[in-house]
Order: sequence, then C-alpha cells, then structure tokens
Amino acid sequence: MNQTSQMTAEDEDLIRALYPSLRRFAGVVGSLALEPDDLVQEALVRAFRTVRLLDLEDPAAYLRRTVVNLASSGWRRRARERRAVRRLTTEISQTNPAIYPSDIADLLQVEPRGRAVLYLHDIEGLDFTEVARMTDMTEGAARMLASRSRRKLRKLLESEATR
Amino acid sequence: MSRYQDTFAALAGRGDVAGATAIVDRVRHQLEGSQTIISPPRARRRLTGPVLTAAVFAVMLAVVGAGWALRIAGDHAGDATGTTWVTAGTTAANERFFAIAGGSGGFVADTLRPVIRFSADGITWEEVDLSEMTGAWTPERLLSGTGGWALVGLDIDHRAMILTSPDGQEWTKGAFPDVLSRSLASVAVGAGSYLAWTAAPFADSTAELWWSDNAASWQRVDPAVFADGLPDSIVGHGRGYVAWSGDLALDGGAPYPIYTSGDGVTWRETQLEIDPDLAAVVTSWEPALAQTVGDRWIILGIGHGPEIEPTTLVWTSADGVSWQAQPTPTFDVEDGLANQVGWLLPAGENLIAIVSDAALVEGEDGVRTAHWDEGSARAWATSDGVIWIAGERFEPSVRRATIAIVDGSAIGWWEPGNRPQFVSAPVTTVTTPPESELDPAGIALQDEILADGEVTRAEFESAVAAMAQCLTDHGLEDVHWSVDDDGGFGFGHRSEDDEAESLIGNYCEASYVDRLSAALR
Repeated sequence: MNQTSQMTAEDEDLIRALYPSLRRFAGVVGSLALEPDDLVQEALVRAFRTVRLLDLEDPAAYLRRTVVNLASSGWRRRARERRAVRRLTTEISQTNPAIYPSDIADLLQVEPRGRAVLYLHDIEGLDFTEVARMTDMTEGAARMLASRSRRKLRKLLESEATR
Repeated sequence: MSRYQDTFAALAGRGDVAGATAIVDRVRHQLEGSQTIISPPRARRRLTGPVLTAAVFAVMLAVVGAGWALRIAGDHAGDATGTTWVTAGTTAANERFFAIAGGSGGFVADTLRPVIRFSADGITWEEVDLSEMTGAWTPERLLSGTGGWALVGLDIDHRAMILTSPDGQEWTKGAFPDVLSRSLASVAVGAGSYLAWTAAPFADSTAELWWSDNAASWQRVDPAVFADGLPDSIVGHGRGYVAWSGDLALDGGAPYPIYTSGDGVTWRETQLEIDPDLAAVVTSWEPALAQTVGDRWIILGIGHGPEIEPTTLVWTSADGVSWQAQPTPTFDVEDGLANQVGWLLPAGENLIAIVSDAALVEGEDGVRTAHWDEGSARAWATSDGVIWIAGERFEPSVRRATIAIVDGSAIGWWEPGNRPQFVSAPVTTVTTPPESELDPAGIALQDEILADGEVTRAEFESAVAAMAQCLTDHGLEDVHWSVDDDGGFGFGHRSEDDEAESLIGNYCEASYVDRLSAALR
C-alpha cells in the first residue's frame, strides 16, 4: 500500500470540479447494483492512496480509468454470482425469473469497458485517441471495442424485433 | 446509436446524487480509516502448463495469387535473431513520460514538465526545455510524420497550442486559429502537412477541419469535399491521410466509403471492398488503422461475425485510390483467443503491427475468461501487407505500453508503478528473397510448368503437393493441402513452433507456388 495523500483545499476544489462528469460516467459504466457515488468515492480513495491528485497530468482521465477498472472487476464478480443463482434457480423450479427486454437491459449486457467507450465517443463526443487515454487502452483497441459493443447492441435489437 | 442516447442519459443520472461536498467528506473519512465500500478484485490466476502447451497450432493459409516472396532476411530456417525485446534503460524514478513517438533519427518523449526528452537509441535521453514557448502546460498529443514531430498541449487557460520539430531537438511554436485553440479535438500529421479539427459531439455539423503546412498559418478545408460531412477518423501517414466515419459498420458484402488525400486539401472518395471469401463469415466491418510503406498504402480493419472472433482485415493500394483486399493475416494467438492490433508503425522498408493477445484467466469458480491486460504482445513485420513475419512475444500486453519504432529499431515503454521501463529491439526485417536462396527444385518445377504459358489444375496440384512435401521435409507434421477451383489453395499442419512454420511456409511457398498463383490470378 502506498502512502496515503492528505486531502488539501486544492484537492477539494478539484474534486468539486470533476465530480459531475465523473459521477455521470460512473452511472454509465457501473452495474445497477452499484451506486455511482460509491464508485466515484472508491476511485478517489484509491487515487489518494496512490498519488497526489494535483500531481497527475490528467486527473479526470486517471479517475475515469479507475472507475472503469472498479466497475469491470465488480461486474465480473457479480456475473459469476448471477450464474450461480441461475443454476440454483433452475435446479429448484426450472423457471427463471423473467427478464424483460429494455434499452437499459441492452446496454447493461455490454461490458463496462464497452459502455465506457461508447459513452465517451458517442455521447461525450471524444475522438478515439482521447477515449483510449480515458480507458487505458490503445486507440485501435478502443475502436475495436466500440465496434464490438455496437455489434452486440445491434444483435440485441434484432433479437427483440423477432420476439 | 441514437436510440441509446436517452438510455445513456438515464444511466448517467441514476441513483441518489450525494453531491460533491458529501463525496469530499466521505473520501476524507475513508482515508482516515473507514472501511472500503468495494472489495478489491479477487486474485486472478493465469493458466500455465498443460492448458497452454496443449494448444495445437493448426494454420490454414488461403493464398490467392500474388507474386510475392518474403521472409526474414538472412535465415529462412526460423532463427529469431533480432526480434527479442530487451530492457534498454530507465529514467529517473520520479519522471513520468506521457507518450513516445519515433521519427527520423530518434525518439521523442514528452513529460509532465514543459520539457521533452530526445533519444537516438532509447537508452540515453537528453532534455530539451520548452518552457519559454509553452509556460506551464499539459501535453495532449505527440505525433510524428515524415516532416518531423508535432506536440500539442493545453496551456493554463485550457487553450490548445502546437509545437513542431524537424529533428526532435529544435522546436518551433506554431499558432492555432481561435476556433482550434478553443475547441481542438485532434491533430494528424501527414506528408509535410498538418490537419487539425474541432470537437464534434453528436456529429455536430459545425465541426471544422483545418490544414497547414507549417503549423503557423492555417486554412479551413471545405467540408463539401466530403460527401457525407466531415469524417470522424483521420489518420496521417507517410504519404498523406486516410479518413472515414467510424460509426459506419456495414453488412458483409457492402463496400465501405473512405477518403484519401496526399496533401490534406484535395480528397478523393473511394471504397474498400471485403474479400468475397470473408463476406460469408464477416457480417460487419470497418477500418481501424492506416499506414504506408514504400509506395504502398495499407489499411487494417476489423471484421466481426457471429461465428468468428474479431478478425483483422487488410487492404493495400498503390495510389490510395484503388484498394485490394488481402488475405487475413494469421496473427496466431497463444491461447486460441482473440487478439487486437494496437499499433501499426513504419520501420524502414517495413510496417510493424504490434498485436496484443488476451490471456485466459481462471476465476475461483473455474470459469475461464479472456483478459487483455494479462496477455502478451508480439511484433509482426510486413513489407507489403500480405506476408506477415512474427517476432518473439513480449510482455506486458501493449495495452499498457507506448510503442515507437525508428530506423529499424523499436522501443516500447510502460509504467509498472511510477518508474518507466523501456524495452528495445531491432525489429524483424522482411525482404524479398532472391531466387538463389529458394529451393532449386521448386524453381525448376515452376519454370517447367510456366514454360507453355499455361497452368493447368493438375500442374498446380502437383506444385502444391511438392510445396507440402517441402514443408514436411522442414519438420512440419501432418501437412495437408487442397486446391480450389478458382486457383486458390490451402494447407494446414500441426506444429508448436509457429515462427518456424511461418518462415518455412514462406520459403516453401515462394519456392514452389508463388509464381504459379500469380499466373493463375
């Protein structure tokens, strides 16, 4: 564990400036089981335990990468739990809880990193160079992930249309 | 994507908003000793031993004509000399680099301070002070092109500025017009010119594209030169620019419209078409990276389909206007997982694609998933976009690295902790082998078949069979082959040495089949 940085008045000002956009981003990439504010809080805590926020070359990008990493690890953990629950449910009754199709359900089937790339590029209007910086991947990888995520959404739309 | 914009907004605004003040308090409280809210990720285990070594490398190459014949210079037996990546140097512990770019004569790295570092070898880095030009600033982009380097950053008022250098050591401050200074999205460096464009959220029709040959005086590019509005992806390279709209992922058989330009002012619309053999399995695709090597333009794209992993697609062109789809590179994957091309960089007479593989990681419940951040990477070299020669693997995955290549040597950089590490290596050299280095028996067989100016199917089959025997003679196991009705052919084999397979394959193909394939085309 690295030494924890003390929060200064300048840090507080920086957090207040970054909070609105960072919270929106956390809402998009986090699962519904996670409160966006919890993700933001944890990202900030981890940042302070690693570096001094004001020393970062781009605190906004650093915090967004941390949020994505947290959301991804949480998403994987819950995904495994869901599988376990589904197996158990099936054994008991052979009846799974109904999953109603919706646009939110579609988006949540895209992995957090994919949601982050789509959100940053399609909604916030960042180019892929910037998206890559914000998500800790190469530009080519960001393009590939965006393409893969869009393909998944198209597939979900098509499957809904045939239901 | 418009259908999902409202959904994104709903997700972005969900939950009870604590507010910045509450978050500040909660963070301070947690730093003082409260429990964490989210558990740290569980330890993940990368599979080793039998799971990896059991992989069978079965390679089918679909070769459709083309008169090329390439291999690693000097040794066609598979020696990997010159492809091993070694640690080249470190910098002071507290210095953090932002990016590295290779160009003519050396590497440039920008730092968090208003200085850059220049290195001719990747080991010794000399400091160049930019503070008189930049004052306090934040670097945003480091780009290199045939004319040198461009460095873009934001000053303390968040206004964009640009510096350029022909050699990485002498820098000149340029000047953006006000609209670029206020809302610069990105910059591309082409052949002796620069393009810069403004941010365009939601494909805003007010976005602007500007051109300059000196980064000091800029002219706005008439958007009417693009039939569908400004493209959102512009890639600069040694012979100009390639542009396209990244949101356009089309059905398999449809051509993909792109724009190319040599000077950044005059643009030509053209199309990429997918190889008919791939159209059956690739249901959507789009360009991703563009470069030039020698006189040849190369675009790498990404293809998707329900039955396949994301697949790298290749197009080449001699003039930037007429494009030919090339066979899909066999970027063999260590674990049988998907891979991704992270970088496409010029290196002398070659292009180097840095390909990152995912790693299979087993969770506590035994479920194995692919993790990009735990995979490895490999440099693949090509001189024509058709034949790709593998270098050795190196770690970590390039997702955490910056790669730059200059004058036949390569450098990577990544940041474990806060201490930059560098690796460098001379990259694999790809040359066309002279006939004297090929198998005389194969040359004689091709001469005999071509003597009457015609290649019959029986003759072609005999040549492919001889090529397969050549592969067997060089140690490949279970070699099998087939010939298509249209003059293409395929072969497969079992081998755990995919580098030897690649080299020997190129040697045997070049000796026995290549000229026949070209004649059949």
